[in-house]
Amino acid sequence: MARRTLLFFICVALLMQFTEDELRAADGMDFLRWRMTEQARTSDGGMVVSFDLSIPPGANPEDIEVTYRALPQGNIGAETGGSAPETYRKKLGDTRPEGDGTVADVTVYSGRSELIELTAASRAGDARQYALTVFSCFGESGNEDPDAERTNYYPNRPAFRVATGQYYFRAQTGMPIEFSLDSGPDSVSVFEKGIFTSTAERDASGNYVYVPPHDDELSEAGYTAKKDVVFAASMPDGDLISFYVPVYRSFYGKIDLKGGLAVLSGSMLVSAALAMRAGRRFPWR
Amino acid sequence: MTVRNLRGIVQHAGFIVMMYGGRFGLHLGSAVPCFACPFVPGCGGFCYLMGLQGYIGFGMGAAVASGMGLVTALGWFAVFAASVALLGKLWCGWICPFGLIQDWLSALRRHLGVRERSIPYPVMRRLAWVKYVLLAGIAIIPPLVTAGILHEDFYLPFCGICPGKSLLPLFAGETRYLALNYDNLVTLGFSVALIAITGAMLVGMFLKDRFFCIFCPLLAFIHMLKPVTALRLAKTPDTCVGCGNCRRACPMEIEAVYRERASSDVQSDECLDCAACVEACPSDFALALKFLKVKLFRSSRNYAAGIGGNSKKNELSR
Repeated sequence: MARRTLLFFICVALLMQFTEDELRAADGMDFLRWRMTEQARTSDGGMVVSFDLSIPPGANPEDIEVTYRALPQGNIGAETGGSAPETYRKKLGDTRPEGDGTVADVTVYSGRSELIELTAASRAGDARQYALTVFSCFGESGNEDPDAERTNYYPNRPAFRVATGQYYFRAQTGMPIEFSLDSGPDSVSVFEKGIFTSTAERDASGNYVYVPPHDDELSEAGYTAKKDVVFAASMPDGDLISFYVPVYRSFYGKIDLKGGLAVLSGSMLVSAALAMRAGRRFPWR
Repeated sequence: MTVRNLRGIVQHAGFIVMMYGGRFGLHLGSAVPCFACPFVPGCGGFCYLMGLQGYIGFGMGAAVASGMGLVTALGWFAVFAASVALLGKLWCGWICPFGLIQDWLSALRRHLGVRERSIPYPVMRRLAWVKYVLLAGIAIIPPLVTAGILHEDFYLPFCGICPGKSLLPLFAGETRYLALNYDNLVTLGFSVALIAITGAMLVGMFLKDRFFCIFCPLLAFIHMLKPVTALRLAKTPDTCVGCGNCRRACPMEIEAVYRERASSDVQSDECLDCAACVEACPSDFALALKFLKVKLFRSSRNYAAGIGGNSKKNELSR
């Protein structure tokens, strides 16, 4: 009996390991994906967001299409509410080799308050690959991206939507990241800091939900430190789609309200005692 | 309607605009000369001190090339200076949401029959340096963060200890700034300091009118722009009878208005332009709140007698 139980657990462990290895093999980091490298204000009040686009071996950088849609954020800037999204085409910047693949620089400029959905599309072998990311800009210049060409074209990629929330523009550890992918698999692979960590399962409403765990490195590093989270999904037709999210430390992860209220009470008691004993120097009026 | 009642109405309207304006699509920008706290979700504008810390941090050192442009920073300063030039310290005495909270606590104290703790004017003058030290900290610390000398959680150092950050968001249901933050030693230090200062300020603001204003660096900054301010308090010393009502009515217990015997300029750095002294003054024309040369409100014996007749409204009856 004991031997059977032991055998059962060994089989389960092997099966889990096999499944994980299979995911790693299928969805290893050899796919088209974004990584945010810098966010900065420009002297005219706009914002520049720079990315590295990792291009897998076998994909020709010259065949990669980079497009983005800018969706004015009515909830952030009332003046832009209700406008239709505008689509732009970008060219890849400098490229450099990295491992077996290539990395290209892509920089997006925004002069408005808008949510930007950045897409790269590529062909590697028979399958197509797509890399997506969504980020907010709070530009104030009103200027357009000087290096982008306005277009009506947008790649015909699998339908993908992010469930934006109040704090989506700054995804945090401990808070769910939620998105949907039409005809997607039951689970997608999750990579944190370039390492496969887990899978995000599709829930009853058809959304994939992942809660990035709190991270001591982020807590120590400061409020601008981020970790790179990438979701990767193999579609039934063999296409591969990745979604990149920079995740920052949580506003609420390591706070203690009870402790704070204790400090507040103590401070008020000490202050009140001092005020009562202040003596003639501070007379009652 | 008395000036005091008018001030109350303006203060409450200002409170609604500053605290909830963003929820109605109203945002006054990043250069508001009062405590419109950006940590209040849906606020109607950002306190200039917050913007200033950001601009100084971004606008200096290595960040010049890639960061916030000095042009933008100077643009917001121009907006701030124009706002101060137009309304002067009315921002403090008539509009500031944190000032209104202090007035609520003072009203509660009076309602409970607790007497006010006096801080004699000489002591208050000696405490005046605190707000200038805070202002200096706002100018010095952010560039050190940008230069990488200080941990980046020192960013917005004044906000880190400002009791407005812990108290004002409560009116929008946000309690997290009253919590200890264990992310790292810097955040823990700031959160302990913020909560301890908040506790001390709550007691101080309950026992003493406008206690926080004694230490407010924004008041100091507004006072530094006094030469360009159109609105100010003026005295005609010849008509002053020396009764001392102005000193007793002043929430900041300023003596300069009472003691001045030669000059018409009685706008000291603690003055909030609340006009309590003008209301209490029984001498015709002795005190006035002026916009350039136009007297918006001047003292008169009839007015003083009128508000004096209602002891519940009269500060002098305490």
